[in-house]
Amino acid sequence: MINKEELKKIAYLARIPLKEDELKRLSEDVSEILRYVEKLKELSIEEEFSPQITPQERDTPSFEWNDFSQEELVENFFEKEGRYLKIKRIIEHEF
Amino acid sequence: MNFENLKIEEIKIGLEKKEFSAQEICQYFLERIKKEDSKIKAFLTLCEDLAMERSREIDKMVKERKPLPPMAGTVVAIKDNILVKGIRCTAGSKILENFYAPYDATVVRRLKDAGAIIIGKTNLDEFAMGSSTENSGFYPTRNPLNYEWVPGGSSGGSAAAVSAGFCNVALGSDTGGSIRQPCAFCGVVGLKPTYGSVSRFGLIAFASSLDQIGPIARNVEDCDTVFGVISGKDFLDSTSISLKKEGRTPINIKSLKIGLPKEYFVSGIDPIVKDEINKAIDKYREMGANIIEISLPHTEYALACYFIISRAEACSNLARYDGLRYAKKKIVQPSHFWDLYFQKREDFGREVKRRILLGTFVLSAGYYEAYYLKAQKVRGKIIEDFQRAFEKVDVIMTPTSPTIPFKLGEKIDDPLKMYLADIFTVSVNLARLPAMSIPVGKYPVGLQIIGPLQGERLIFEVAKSYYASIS
Repeated sequence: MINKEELKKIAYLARIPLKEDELKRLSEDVSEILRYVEKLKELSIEEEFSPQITPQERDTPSFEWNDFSQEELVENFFEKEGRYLKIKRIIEHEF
Repeated sequence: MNFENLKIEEIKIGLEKKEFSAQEICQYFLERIKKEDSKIKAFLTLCEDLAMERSREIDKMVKERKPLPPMAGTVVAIKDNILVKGIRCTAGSKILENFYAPYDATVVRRLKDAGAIIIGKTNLDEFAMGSSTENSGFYPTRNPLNYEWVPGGSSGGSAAAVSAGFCNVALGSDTGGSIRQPCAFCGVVGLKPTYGSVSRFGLIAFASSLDQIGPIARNVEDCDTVFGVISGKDFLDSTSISLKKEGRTPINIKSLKIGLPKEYFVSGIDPIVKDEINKAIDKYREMGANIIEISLPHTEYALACYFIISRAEACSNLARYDGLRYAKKKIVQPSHFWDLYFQKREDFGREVKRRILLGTFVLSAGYYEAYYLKAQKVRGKIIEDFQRAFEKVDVIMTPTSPTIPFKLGEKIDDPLKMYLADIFTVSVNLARLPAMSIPVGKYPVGLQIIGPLQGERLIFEVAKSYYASIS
């Protein structure tokens, strides 16, 4: 259903690093589930899909919510400088 | 005094009459946990200071003769995927091992306002993904009824804590059966409310169109009380809805129509489960209820539909764990921005990886229509099945789980076999309905009572009548 090469591609899209033995095992696991969900192909549903919206109430007012401080959020950053989140440079273009 | 045997209302009355203090209650449970939880491992974190501080506040209110809120002195355990301000919140994952919640979930704020004492955070399958609590990134929890058994999952820690008498009530979350199945396994009462009736604000998301927080208790009355406290419109969750206003009038059991879906009473059910469920239904028959066979024709597709939708939603929700936010991990000098992701996300457990990969696959170009879109259409059919059924009956009854608790290690290496533990519970989440599991008979077997949308009141009354009939 899904081979190791395909799973490798999916794993890259999901940003999950997989070792060789994990790759083998997980491609077997995922294939087994895919075989199970094949069941849905037995059903032919003519109707167009209509989005299943929960009965939302439209009276939601605007609100302000300040239950925590910026410091508390910054505290959970993996690396910081002052109040800034410090990460590896993303844009490599030289201006 | 054995405080675990007191109902929420009795605790409040006891405090008012000064028969005991909130500090006594709190210390009682803390000692019990410290003495006995090493065998069960229901908790991941104890909030001793928070709990003692809260109980002193309650005692002060009693002393000053202030009116006590409805859950004054009630000791509550919270599943560790629900945020309690200042307390570590791991969701059972190594990824969040050092994550401290910067704010309270709405349900937690409501419990605190109602006078509840939060005693600790309970174990779960990582990100609530599992049916046995064996997928916890820390340690498995054991079933208090028999230490060789799993407590069920993913709210296994909460169900075990209530069952073992480590608290009065607990909160769990239910995406495909994660409150009801562990309650059945541990012999306690649990409610998965109507989607939207309890705010999900502050719940660590797994599958957002299915997730719902609900109460776990030793009796139906307490479950009812906690539901009353935590439910209702919350502007911080756009999917939350206002409660239907209903009085607490007792129902007339003789005019009650109970539907038994024939698709749920087929081969493959453990004979013990079948026997206990039949006996419980006979009780309702004796009370004069009308038992009607109904059909939910798309039942056999529910699990496949659930796999696709829940994994698709999970892979989007878990994309936020990027190595930048939520808990620190020292990243080895990243050579590229994506390294932050890769280094962080390798710590996901195997089950979580499995689900993210399947979710990514079914959403990827070329497969979306065959899997995700198809599953959404099937979900529509499952909703229609229930709508038709509720034109004929008031409630639907099924077993909660096809088996009694299994042993630790029995299914952990066979994911599909593990997933089948949820076969009777997932449809309810897909259809957004409320459902409760109540313990019946002498084995750990749960009777699932499914109600129409916002039919919690009816479910409570139907459940109470069962216990009235056997007492």
